[in-house]
Amino acid sequence: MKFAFTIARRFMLGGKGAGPSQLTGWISIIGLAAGTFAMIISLAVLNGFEERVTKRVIGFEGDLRITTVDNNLNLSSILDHVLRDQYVADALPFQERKGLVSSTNQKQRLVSLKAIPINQFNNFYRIKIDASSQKPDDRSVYIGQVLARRLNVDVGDEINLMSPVDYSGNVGLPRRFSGTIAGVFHAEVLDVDDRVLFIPMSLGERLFTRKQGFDGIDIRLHDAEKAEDLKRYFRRILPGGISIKSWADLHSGLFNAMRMERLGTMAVLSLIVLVACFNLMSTLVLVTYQKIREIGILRTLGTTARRIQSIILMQGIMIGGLGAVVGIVISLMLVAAQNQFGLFTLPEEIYFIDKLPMVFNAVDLIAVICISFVFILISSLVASSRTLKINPKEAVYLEK
Amino acid sequence: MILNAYQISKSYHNGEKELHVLRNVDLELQQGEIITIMGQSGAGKTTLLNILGTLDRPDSGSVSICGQDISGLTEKKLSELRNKQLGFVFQFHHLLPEFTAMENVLMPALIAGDEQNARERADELFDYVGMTERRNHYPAQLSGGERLRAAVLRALILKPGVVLADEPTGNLDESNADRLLNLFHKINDDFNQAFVITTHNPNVADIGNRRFVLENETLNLIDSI
Repeated sequence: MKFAFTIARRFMLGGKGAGPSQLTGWISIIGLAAGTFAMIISLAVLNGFEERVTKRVIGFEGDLRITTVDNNLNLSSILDHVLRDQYVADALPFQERKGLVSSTNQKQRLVSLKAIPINQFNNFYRIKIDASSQKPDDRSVYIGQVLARRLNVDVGDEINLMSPVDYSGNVGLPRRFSGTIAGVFHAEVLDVDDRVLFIPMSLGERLFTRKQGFDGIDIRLHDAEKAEDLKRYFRRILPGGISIKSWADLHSGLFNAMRMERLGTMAVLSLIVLVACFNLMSTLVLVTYQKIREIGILRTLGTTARRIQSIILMQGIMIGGLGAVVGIVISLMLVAAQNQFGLFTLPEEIYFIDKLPMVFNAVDLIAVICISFVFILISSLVASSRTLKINPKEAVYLEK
Repeated sequence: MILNAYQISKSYHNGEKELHVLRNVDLELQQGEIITIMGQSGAGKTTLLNILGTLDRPDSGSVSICGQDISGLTEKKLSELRNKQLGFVFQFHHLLPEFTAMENVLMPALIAGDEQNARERADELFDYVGMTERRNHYPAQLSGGERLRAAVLRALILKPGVVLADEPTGNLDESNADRLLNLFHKINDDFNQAFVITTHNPNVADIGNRRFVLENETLNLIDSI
């Protein structure tokens, strides 16, 4: 190993006065550095967004949600049962239906009307809200900031609510009630600020006549980290005909999409490393032919063909390793600098954050190192196998 | 006997044409003996030296070095034999330009994994040829004669059974050629080192205890001292 390292170090990029192999060598070093840099930074940004999304999604609507599978099931008794359970900090029943909301200036939006005990909104939901100082009553509704902006309404304004599938009397017109905006909330999670409108349960009961009773119960646990375990626990102790989902289940599509995005990013950016490794391969082949006489001399002096191969292999690892390490170090420094100084800013009204989030993940680092090392090793092995075909007696007498 | 070549034949094929280079060549080399082989360019001197140096295999015949028949040896064993029992000196110095003279001399020891133990002998050898001050210079910083002397030291570092020199003075001026031949003599006298030297120069051939000429594919003894 010492022999291979010593020779590889001196023959680095073709040794003294080697023009083309030095150029291609530096290109492959830069390529590998760019590849690993791009992979680490991209994954750090994805991690950053994922962490923020996860933080906001966790527990924003509770830790567990119970909904009915059997439409005839009454969730009231289950609510009582849940509220008495030792693991449950709070529980909130709700009705959630599609509805139309319109402002006095005739702007309309299709929304999800979520009827809850409105006076428990602040206790249960972890959502920032700009609310009026008055206590909420049977006409108080909470509207998301994006929806409020679209409808051009604010706290204190009147809005009309309609449930198109619930009819009033025999006329066949949708039921329609008005409410007063008691607060504008900033959930900043997915499209909740644009899609959901919280209304009092009493208003929901009057609006949703087609099906009475709760649609579900949001549960907040004392220990949110036990959500998965307690999901199974509640499935065991509660009667059938219900579905229990954790916050992760409710947003599984989102998390799966983020996971796929990470895998896709890694796969695509690996191509940069792959291309750089093609360059590394050509560099090593070039070095082999530039140093063919020296290789012949070493063979004459008693070096086996395999040890000659190990010199070129070692050089490939050194060149490739240098590029990969440079890329990794620069990217980690950039992640640290971004977290410390916030070098890259974002428009807050779009992303809800003012700085590009970057989170370093050790697993990602190991994955990037493994991918780079495998590519470097394969390309170096392929290139170094050329040395096995060198005939020492021809190489020694070769005129260069 | 340090080296024994028996009934060596070698030919090359150029399409359907067969070119015989060596035919039934015999050669024996004793400890401390210098053999010189003369011949014109293309006579097959280098081919014979390559076969004796295990860099090439004969079509027929056998070669044994230090009592070991090389015909059945694996590539690894042949490399080990070259490293430990054979020293090579070429017409061109063939030093590695990225290494100093000292590092070049120590190269066989580095290959053998015995660099540290060989360092003291390398110092002695540099002193022996009066190059102590030049040992840390790179080949590009040495004169032609110094480079070839460094190449000779490289061949001697592991005390090989035989040194094979292929036209060693072919690229030197007369003065440097004389110095090199004197060095071969001195090494032969002081270390009882065996040499096989190929040349086309009769003056160089004169240093041999036995002198051969390679012509018409055969090796013929001219005279012996």
